[in-house]
Amino acid sequence: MDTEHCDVAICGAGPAGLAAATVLERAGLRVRLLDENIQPGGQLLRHTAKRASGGVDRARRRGLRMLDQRTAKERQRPSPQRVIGIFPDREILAADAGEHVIRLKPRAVILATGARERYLPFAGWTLPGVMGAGAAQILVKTHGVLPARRLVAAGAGPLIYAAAADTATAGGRVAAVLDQAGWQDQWRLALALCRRPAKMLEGAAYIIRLQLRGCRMRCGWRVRSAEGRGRLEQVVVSRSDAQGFPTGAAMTIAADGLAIGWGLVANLDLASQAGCRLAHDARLGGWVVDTDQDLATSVPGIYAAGEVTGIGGGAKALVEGELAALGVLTYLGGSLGRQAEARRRRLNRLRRGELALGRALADASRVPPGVLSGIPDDTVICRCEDVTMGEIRQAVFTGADSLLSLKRTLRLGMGICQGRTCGPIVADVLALLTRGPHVPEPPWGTRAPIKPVTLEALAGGPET
Amino acid sequence: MSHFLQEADAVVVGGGVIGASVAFHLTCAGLRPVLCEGLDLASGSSGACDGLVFLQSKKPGIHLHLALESQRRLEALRCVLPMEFEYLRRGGLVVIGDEAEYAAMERYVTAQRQNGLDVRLVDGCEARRLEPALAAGTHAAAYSPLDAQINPLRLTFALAAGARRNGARILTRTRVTGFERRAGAICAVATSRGSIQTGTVVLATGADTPRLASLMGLDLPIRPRRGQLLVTAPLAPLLRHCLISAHYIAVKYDPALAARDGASVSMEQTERGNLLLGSTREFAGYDRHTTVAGIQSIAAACTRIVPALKTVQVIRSFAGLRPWTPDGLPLLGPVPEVPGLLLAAGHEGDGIALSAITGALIAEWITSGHPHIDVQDFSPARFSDRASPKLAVNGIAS
Repeated sequence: MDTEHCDVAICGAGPAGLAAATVLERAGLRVRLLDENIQPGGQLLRHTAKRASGGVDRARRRGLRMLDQRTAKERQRPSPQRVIGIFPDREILAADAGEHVIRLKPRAVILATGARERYLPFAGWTLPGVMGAGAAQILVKTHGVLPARRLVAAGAGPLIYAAAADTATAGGRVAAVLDQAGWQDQWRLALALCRRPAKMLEGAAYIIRLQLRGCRMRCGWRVRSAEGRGRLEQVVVSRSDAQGFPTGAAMTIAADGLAIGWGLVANLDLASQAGCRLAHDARLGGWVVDTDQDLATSVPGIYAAGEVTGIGGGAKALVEGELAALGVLTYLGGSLGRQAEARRRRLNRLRRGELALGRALADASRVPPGVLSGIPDDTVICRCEDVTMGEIRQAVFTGADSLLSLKRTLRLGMGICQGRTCGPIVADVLALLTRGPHVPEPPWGTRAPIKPVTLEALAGGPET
Repeated sequence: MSHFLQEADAVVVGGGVIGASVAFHLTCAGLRPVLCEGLDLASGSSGACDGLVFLQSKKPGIHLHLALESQRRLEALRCVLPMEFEYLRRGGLVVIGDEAEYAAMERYVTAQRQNGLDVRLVDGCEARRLEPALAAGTHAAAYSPLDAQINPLRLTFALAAGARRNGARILTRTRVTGFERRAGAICAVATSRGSIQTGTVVLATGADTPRLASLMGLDLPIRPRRGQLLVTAPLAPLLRHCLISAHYIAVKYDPALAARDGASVSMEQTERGNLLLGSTREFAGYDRHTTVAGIQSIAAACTRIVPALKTVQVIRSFAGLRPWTPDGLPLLGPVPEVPGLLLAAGHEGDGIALSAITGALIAEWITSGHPHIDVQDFSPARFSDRASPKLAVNGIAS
């Protein structure tokens, strides 16, 4: 296994990672930017073949500019580098597409691992054709593939409108967008966006695009089940109250695709593996990495930036990437000039504004308890180990009253995804079933390898 | 919490496989023990280990005798406990790498046969006939049809469920904070949820035992020894047996062989199809992290012994702390310095295999004062008169 030394390893080449790399490289440091995707840019800058200009979104425009400056350099290292694990003393294992594993020994690390979708189970959610709203966007934007011929988007929050609008623009039919959030929540979000005309415009553009294509849009509606033989054929929906309990009669909508969005949760795999302290903030997506003003985590030499410190979007990620880079520069012994200090103060101010926006967006995609209460016993919750809702209910009633004891009793999260999909669901379900004054329990830690890797690669490659 | 205040026939500290077994066997003897566990059941080493019930790795003599007895009892427990625990008697192979290991294993196997273990040495061809996944150049192996495997998590839950059914109280997230003594003897256990009156305490706290024993002024020579393991994605049946490398035994019993290169590994395929590949043996304090070096050495050794593993995906790694003792034997039975205190700890990597007999012996001690097997070799008193057990630790640390 080859060992490589560098000054800073940045895990994740989304907006936060790119912003950090730009600052650190300008300061003359040796930076390794690691990302499992074929192209840098993360979810925000995931671009279509025809390469959009970024539209009205300033963060996206800035990100694309950074990406343009990088690509020439990055072409020399074309293969993606996925991080396998982070070990004591900041040692990092990473693998490329050819399963060649290297060992990195950086002097400092920035975790910019972004977020993933929050899934909520319902009867039929494992049918082919049911997907995350983010997954639908990846299909359209990266691969140029329509997620469905007739799509329904449902859940709560802005993500479902974006997925629906992208599909519609690419020529797909969107039968309906169903938002659990009622009109009151929508007004509250609109009010919060008043200070962000660009965001407001973006949202309005989605809605107008969908309206022009004849898409039904409903607030205070939710999916009750997905049905079909072997694949999705229809979605059963109904009105719901503010707590998420279905109120009206059920009706069906024919569809071969269902994009579900319930907001995002931070990707904490590396942070928890590195031993970084976590903090819980329900209005920033739940569990996030705990950081100080400079975005230093509780582990010396490890910084965090972007969605991992709280779900807040691209502009927050850009600000934090730069802020974390300045923190790393100080950590590595450089004293910042007066200009950089001023910049840092300005970034901190910007960050506070972005966090406020993140909280407002989180309120719009909040998961009300009623959504979780009606899950039938035979619905699979852990898709790796085939654990059903009924088994979870029974285990909770017979004494498994913590996330870890549920994991040990039922093998929840012991499969290939290590609980990335079912972890947040099980936490919500457990909180609902045990009620009581609940202090949220930290998520199951993810162990190395974060994503599967062959034994031969871990052994150090083919024997010579 | 005054309503918590209660009495118990005995308090078992530790909700791992040993504590659960002690609690279960006490209820079988008619007692109503309370089990206190600081976190959840099997949250220590019992939830972070392999599941081997390997007889060939036990030292010929009383150690092997106990293991044989324990296995018989485990098999019987399958019909008694309210839960299934994936016991599989697959038979085991000790894979021998070269002539030097063969010579050592020859002596070792002879002694084991004299102790009544059904074990024999087979050459490379025979070994590959038994276990076709072995590498083409396999030198030789020792084979016993008795070696078995188990799901340690399920075994712990099953024993705890059995104990609960028989009247034991299992208190999870109940930390033991101290021990009250009257005239030297234990009279109560203080916990984070109140105090429990009892004249009998069993410490079954694995690598954490020295900390609790120090609350009573005892200096036990148990030290945490880290074992890292890898888990693969579930596979179609690949291994017919449980495998360990001869180096594994060498490291345990023969310092001369241990000094040579080579990794000691164990491999088993669980009922679910995942392979469990282990295990390192390192002194790293109470650090439960996995390391690059540890993962790499397990991967390299396993792919050398079973080349088909090269393309198999690893999905997880973890580490547990085995309670190591200077002579490789557990500390079982009463502690002379503290009347009322019994130890059931220090099994290092043998806790799963010895769980059933450990529980039975401790229960016999508590109910009748003397167990049915002579277990002087395991007495905690064997370390009492040593000037400084810590010296022994430094001598063997790897």
